[in-house]
This record gives sequence, C-alpha cells and structure tokens, in this order.
Amino acid sequence: MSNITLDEWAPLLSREAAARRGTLLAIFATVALLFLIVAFFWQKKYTSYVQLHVDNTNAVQVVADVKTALDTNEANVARETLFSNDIMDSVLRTVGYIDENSSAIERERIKEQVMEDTEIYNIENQLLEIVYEHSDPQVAFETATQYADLFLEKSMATSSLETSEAFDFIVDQVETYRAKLEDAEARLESFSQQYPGINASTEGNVDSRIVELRRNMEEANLKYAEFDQRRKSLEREISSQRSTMAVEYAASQTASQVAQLQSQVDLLRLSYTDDYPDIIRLKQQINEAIAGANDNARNVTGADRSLAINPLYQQLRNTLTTVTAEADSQRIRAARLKVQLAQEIERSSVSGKVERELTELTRDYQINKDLYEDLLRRKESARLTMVLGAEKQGVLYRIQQPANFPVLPTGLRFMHIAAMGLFLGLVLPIFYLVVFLKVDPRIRTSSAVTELLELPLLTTVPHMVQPNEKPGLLSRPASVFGVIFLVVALYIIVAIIKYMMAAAPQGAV
Amino acid sequence: MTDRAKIANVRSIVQQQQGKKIRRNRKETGRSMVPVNRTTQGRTNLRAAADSVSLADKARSDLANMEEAKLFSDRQLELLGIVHPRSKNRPLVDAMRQLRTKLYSLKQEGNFSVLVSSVLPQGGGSFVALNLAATIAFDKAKTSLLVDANLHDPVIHKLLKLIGRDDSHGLLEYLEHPELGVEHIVSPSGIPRMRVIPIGSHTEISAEHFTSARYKQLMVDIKERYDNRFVVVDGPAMTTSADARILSDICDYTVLVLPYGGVTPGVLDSIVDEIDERKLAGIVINDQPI
Repeated sequence: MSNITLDEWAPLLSREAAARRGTLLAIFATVALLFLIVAFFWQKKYTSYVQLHVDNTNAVQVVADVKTALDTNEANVARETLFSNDIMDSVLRTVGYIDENSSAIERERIKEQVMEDTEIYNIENQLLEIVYEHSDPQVAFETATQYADLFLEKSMATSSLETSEAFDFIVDQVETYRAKLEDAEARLESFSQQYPGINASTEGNVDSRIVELRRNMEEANLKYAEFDQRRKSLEREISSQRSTMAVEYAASQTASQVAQLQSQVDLLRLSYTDDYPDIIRLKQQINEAIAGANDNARNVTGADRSLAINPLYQQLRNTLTTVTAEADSQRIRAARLKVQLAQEIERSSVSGKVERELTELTRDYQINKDLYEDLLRRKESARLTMVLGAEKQGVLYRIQQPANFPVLPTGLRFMHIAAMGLFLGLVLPIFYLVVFLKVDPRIRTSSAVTELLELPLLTTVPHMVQPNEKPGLLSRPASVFGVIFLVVALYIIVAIIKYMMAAAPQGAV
Repeated sequence: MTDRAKIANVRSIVQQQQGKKIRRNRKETGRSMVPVNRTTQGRTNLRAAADSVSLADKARSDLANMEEAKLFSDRQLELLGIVHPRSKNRPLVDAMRQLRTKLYSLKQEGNFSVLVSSVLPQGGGSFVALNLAATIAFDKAKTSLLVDANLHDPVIHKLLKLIGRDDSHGLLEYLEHPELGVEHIVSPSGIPRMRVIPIGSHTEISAEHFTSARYKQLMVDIKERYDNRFVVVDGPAMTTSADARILSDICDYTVLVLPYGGVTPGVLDSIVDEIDERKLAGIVINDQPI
C-alpha cells in the first residue's frame, strides 16, 4: 500500500487522471455502452395485485374457542391453495398462457414461470396480497383477477364445509352432555330420598356442636376443680376456729383490769408502804375483779352459753355451704356434657360418609351443568356462523381491493438502467484510480519520501511536455471529447427509439 | 521523454542548419569549420595531441566570442528540454531553482561537486543534471561544469554535436591519456557560464576509471580552479552500475533522481543504504504528471 496523506489525494487523483485519461475513457465508454445495451433490451414489468381481507372469526374458531395459528402461516397456506393444480390450470387456460395443443412439458414450464412471478404477502395478519408481474399489463391484470376469484371460490367452499362439520360435531356433543347431566340429576335425587335429613349444610353443624360441647365440658371441669379447692380450704379454716368466743373475752377484760390496778399499786409502793390506804384499796379492788371474773365464768358455762358463739366461725360455715353446693352442681354438669359429647361424636362419624357421597354427586352435577350450558351457547354461535356463511357474509376472505390495471410499469426501467450506466461510467474510473493508487506501492508522493523513508526531498520536477510527444489515441483531448459526445449521443438516440417503441403499441390500441 | 528523445528531436533541426553552414563554409574556405584534426590513432599521435592542445588554448583565449557564436537560442533550449531564465515553463524553472537553492544551503561558502544519479535507467538523471548545471549558470556570478560520467547512457556529447564541438576530447580519453590536460576536455556547452566535459571516446568500458587517482585529481582540479564554479556530475543509474557509488564517494554531495511511480520504498531504501548518508543531499522526484 502506498503512503498517501489526505491532502495529497486530490492533486494526486487529478494528476493520475490526466496521465491515464485513455484508460479512464475506455472504462467509461465500456460501462456506459454495456448498460445502454442492457437497458435497450430490458423488458418492462407491470404488476397487478389483489388484496383480500382475512376474517379470523370462522365457525371452527367459534366451536373450538381457541386462536388458530394462522398468523405467519397465512401466506404459506394461501400459497399452497393458490398453487394447487386445479387453480393453476384454470388460471393458465383462462388467461391464455396455454391452449389445448400445448404439450405437457410446455405447460409445466409455463406454470413454473407463472408461479415464479407470483408473490403472496401477509400484511399484518389483516390483508393477504396476491401480486403478479408480467410484461403485458393486460395479462398481469387478468391473472391477478383470476387468482382472486378462484382463490375466494375455493376457500369459501372449504370454509362452508368446515363450518357444517363443526356444527354437526357440536350438536353431537350437546346431546352427549345432556345425557350425562340428566344421569347426574337422577342420582342426586335418589340420594336425597334415601337420606332425607342430610343436605349439603349438615356436616358443618355437627362438627361445630362437638367443639362447643367439648369446650363447655372443659369449662365445667375447671369450675368444679376451683370450687372443690375452695371447699377444702374453708374446711381447714373452720376446724382451726372455736365456736365459743365470749368467755375468753370476759376473762381477758378482767385480766387487763387487774393488770392496770396492779400497776397503780406498784407505783404507789414506790412512795408508800403496803399499809397505805390507797394500796390497800387497790388490792381489794383487784381481788374483787378476780372474784367477779370467776363468777362470770361459772355463769357463762351455764344456760346462756349460745350467746357466746364465735361470729367468724359462723361466717365461714355459711360460705362453706355455698361452695359445696356450687361444686356439686358443676360436677353434675360436666358429667352430663360428657355424655352428650360422646353421642355427638358417634353421630358425626356416621354422617361423614353420607355427606362425602352427597358432595361428589353435587360436584358431578355442577360440572355437567356448566359444560352443557357452554355447549348450548356455542351451538347457537355456530348456527349463526353457518347461516351467515350460507349467505356469504361470514366467509374467511373477502376482496378488500380488486385487481388493478397497471398503467405504469414497476421495477427497473430503461431510464433507471441508463442513468445507472452513466453514473457507474463516471464513478468506476475514479474507483479504479483510487484502488490503483492505494494498491500500487511505488513512490508517487513527497510524503512517501519524507515521512515513510524519512529522506530529505529536494524538489519535485514536473513532467515536461515534449514537442514531439504524441499521446495515445484515446489520450488526446479530441478523442476524450469525441468519445464522451458519442456516448451521450448514443444514449439520446436509444432513448428516443425506446420511447417511440413504447408509444407505438399504445397508439395502435 | 528522456534526454535522448529530446535531443533526437532537436538534432534534426540543428543539423539541418549546421549542414547548411558547413556546406556554405566549404564553398567559401574549402575546408572544415572545425579546426581540430583528429585521427583515429589519436592515442599515440602526440603531434595531433599537441595540435589539439594548442588549438584548445587558442580556443579558450577566444572563448567569449566563440561561445557567443555557438549559444543555443531560447527556442532550441526549450526543444532540448533545458531551462533558461526566460522560460515560460515556470513549474520546471521553479523546481530547478528550488533544487539549486537547497544545494547551496548545504554548503554556505565556496563551491561544491554534486553527483546526480537516477535510481532507474531512463529515470531522468541526465535531464536533472543538465538542468541543474544550467540553473546554476543563471547566476552571472557563478559558473557550472557538467561532467558526463554516465558510461552506459551518455548524453552530453550529443549536445556538443549540436553546437559543432563533438570533436573535443572527453573524460575517458583524459583518464586514459596522461598527456591530456583538463583544458583539453572542458568544452563550452552552448549555454552561458556553463561548461561541459563529455564522456569522450573510449576503447574499453571499465569501472576502474573512476577509482583512479587521476579521476580524483581531476575532480579536485576542476572544483578548485575557480571557487565560483560548481561541478555537476551526471552519473549512471544506481541500479545498473556500481560506478554511481564510486562517483558518489568522490563528490561532495549526491542527488538521487526518483522517477515518479518508478520504485517502491523498499528499493529506494536499499539504494540509499549503499551510499554514504552524509553525502546524500536528497531525493528529486522527477516527471510528476501535471
């Protein structure tokens, strides 16, 4: 690769272009003329297309209630239908590609060609586009029309067949499910006759009752234990109390009186002798008090003894009586609850089996009922779809846009190819120069000397035109202008011929 | 487009004119215009040599007049592809002036000798050498001497033929004949202030000519005789002959002429490697398309 800096490209290209103008001119002329020849013989293509609207709600879907996987395969399915032998033969014969005399090989070859020129597109799952391309607009139009008509006809027949099959199927299914539902209903009825008291709501009640009984029984047991404990402690308390309390009370009063008097005596004795009158009096009082107390004690133990009963003892006795009664009542209640609980448990174990059977029967019945109702609804939808299909209003496809008569050719035309020829004729020589300069390693620029080899460059001597220097035939300015003029003239002439040829058949029509 | 082509082109024109002159002179004087009586055995004929020496001395004494008479016209120079100060080919003149100025800048004082050698045969080495010498002579204060040391493809003698000096002795004769002096081989060129030493006739081609002490002495003599004289040696192509490298050793500087689009960087690099780096003045890219 040669070493060429960016600023050297423009002068280098212009210098090399001038030096190699013969080669460049040859490339230009060759490319331009080649494209002109291709453009001259290029056949115009006319494209006619039909758009079919795709209706996704057909009877099969209604019955099956699922989205059928049409989405991306729509075009493929349509292609299969369209390229089937019956449709293709019909198209070929109607449009006039083949006649009775055509051989089988010829027929097959033409069919291949027609199939190749036919394109089928699926536009956003809504539209199906059938495109046909031909050099004659009339043929293109007729073929596209034929395609659409035959395709619709065939798909409609297929669709109505599918619909009626689907309807038959669903009617059959409705019958089956009705029989099943009736069977379930009968079984449920016979069961309820067998177990009149049992219905769907019984089972839960038994369970909750058992739980309640159990709770009440535990409560009663707890209360009994509590009262029993209280009774025991009261009995202990009573045994420690005395029923007679009044005597002790009087005795203790006398004792305190004596003690008080004695202390007065002791106080006086500090100051006086025993024969002091106050002391003597006090002693007498003491003796009297003791004597009085003894008398009282004797009296109390006699007839008036009840008056001396202890009040605390009395109260304890009362409480004990109440507690004992309560404890007894709780004990009896717990015992009764226990009996009831046992009865309930026994009863629930019997009803469990019956209830399970009932639940099963009910569920069976419910499912059959739902399915049957759903099928009935679908049957009605299918019937509607089938009626619509018979009236051609609910078909799978309908024509969205009928085949157009192509007035303007599509694709590449003479003008395009000619313009491309001129353009490439100009670009390719430049491309050739760039590639040549890029690939050729020989030194052409000062930078190759100064930068690549790092040698001093003294000067660059330009080419000196010699008086006797004869450039090649193509390099002469006259040749250059002559060839360019010739090429352009040829383009204009061919363009005129081409348009005259295009105008001629139209004028004839 | 080489020097040979140019010279061949002009030769016909000039020869026609000269032919007329010669015929006219013969009619008038009855003898050849060129006074040197060269023999085929000039090598051993001392008398002939002495004659030529005396004639050369005489010629030098009358140099100015003779040169004036034999100068090329601008038109002829243009046909020959040689620059002159009044040339309308400004790019060529500017390029040669740039070359000259850069060489001057290498040696601030005094004169120098420079070998101009092409990288490839027909690479324009002689063209650049000739024009460099001519450009140096633009300056009235300087003179140039172009030595043709290109054994393989000599050019200068053709130039001399055009001005009727093709009878003068050349470099090879000088190297072979010790009796010849420098003054015998230096000829006018047809360009003011520019002298030439042609290659001369020779009996054998040998590279040993340029390794001889006599050649070295010659180079010293011609360079040092006048301090305003710049010596330009036209050497053979680097890729064809070892002479160029030998000549490079004897000259002060070497200029490599690189034909445009002629060699790859690798080739140029290997050639540069073979010559003394200190003596390499630089590269001249020749014949760049306009």
